[in-house]
Amino acid sequence: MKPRIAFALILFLVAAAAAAASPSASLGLLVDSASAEAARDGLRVLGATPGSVADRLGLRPGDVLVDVNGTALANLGADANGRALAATTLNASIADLAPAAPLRLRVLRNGTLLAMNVPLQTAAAAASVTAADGVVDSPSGSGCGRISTFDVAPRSEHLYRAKILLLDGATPGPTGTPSFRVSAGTHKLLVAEDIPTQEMGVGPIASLRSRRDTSKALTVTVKPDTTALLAARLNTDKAADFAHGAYWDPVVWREIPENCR
Amino acid sequence: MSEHESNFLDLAARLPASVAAHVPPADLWPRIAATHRRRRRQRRWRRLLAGGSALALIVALGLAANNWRHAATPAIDWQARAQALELQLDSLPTPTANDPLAQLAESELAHLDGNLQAAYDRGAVSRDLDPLWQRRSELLDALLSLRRQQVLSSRI
Repeated sequence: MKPRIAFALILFLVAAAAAAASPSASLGLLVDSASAEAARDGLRVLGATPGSVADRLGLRPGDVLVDVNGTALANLGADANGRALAATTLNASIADLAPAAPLRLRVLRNGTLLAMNVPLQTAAAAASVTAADGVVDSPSGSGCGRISTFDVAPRSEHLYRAKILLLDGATPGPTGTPSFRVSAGTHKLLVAEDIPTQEMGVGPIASLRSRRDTSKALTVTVKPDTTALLAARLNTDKAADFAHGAYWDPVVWREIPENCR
Repeated sequence: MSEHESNFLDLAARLPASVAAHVPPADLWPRIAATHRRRRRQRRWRRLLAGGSALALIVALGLAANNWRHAATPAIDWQARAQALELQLDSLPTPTANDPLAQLAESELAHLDGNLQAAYDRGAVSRDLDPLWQRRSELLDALLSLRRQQVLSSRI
């Protein structure tokens, strides 16, 4: 399987897993469903996932959804669990929509009522474009690539921020830079972890005392026009083993094709 | 017989009676031992009390320092920060070509938003919500810096 197909497939699977949560979440819409009180005037939008259908529709934090496909969302009260019934109504409305049917929303933004109307399929297609394009072909042979500590690693896989202390024996600079351009080939790194203490399952004092000098060496082979993404993997079964540093490992969790020039 | 000799004989005659009169009572040694034990116990208690007080003082100072540190660094409203970052992101032009790193950030955001919505749906408290908003804020920060780089490089 070609790397870019695999990459697109992984992104699709991640998006599909997120979509399994709820119909509104599958649109990338984050709403305050916690209580009927919060949804008295309508369903408050807490966020729209960048690149999602909700984002393409133009929804943004602070918006209040007052109507979905003709069904009012204000003053609906609470459901059996005490949550906002408006959220259940929104989810039911989205779930009932036929693929080509339009999603019509009336949104209150800064006191102004806006109408948003888009066929769900069109919005979804526009959003999914982002998952397929932008991949660069990787030429073989010598060249350059990147090593990056850019912290977008999935926390569900216990991957956290890592810091490169030494890159081929030298301090990489400037400080705070997440990506370093390197020649294609093998590089020796000294890596430190930046795992939040609350994820360790031990007290902050124990953590502070024991986590000194737990940097680890890692050899990375960088392919041309490829970025190797580095992270610190928390070994949850050895989370308290500070003495031998077994609680974490530096890993290259993903290689992405990216023109390094 | 000299006067000294007479005194000596007199003293010698009296001595056994005097010594017999000063034989310590039978319970003297147990009383001494009991006093010694009591004093030792008192010293031990004083040491323990002093140690305990010092420990309590250290703990109190540590807690005070921790409280002071927390008071000095105001709590971050991660939800407000994430929402502000999202609005900043919206204000940037839509990228023409998508950066693979940005795609990873977006897919992690999609996953996180699913978890965040599920947390709201089950009525999670702010202690559970805050770490999710913090992570959302970090990811939006990362995405924003990538988009800004893209905008800059497209202008050059």
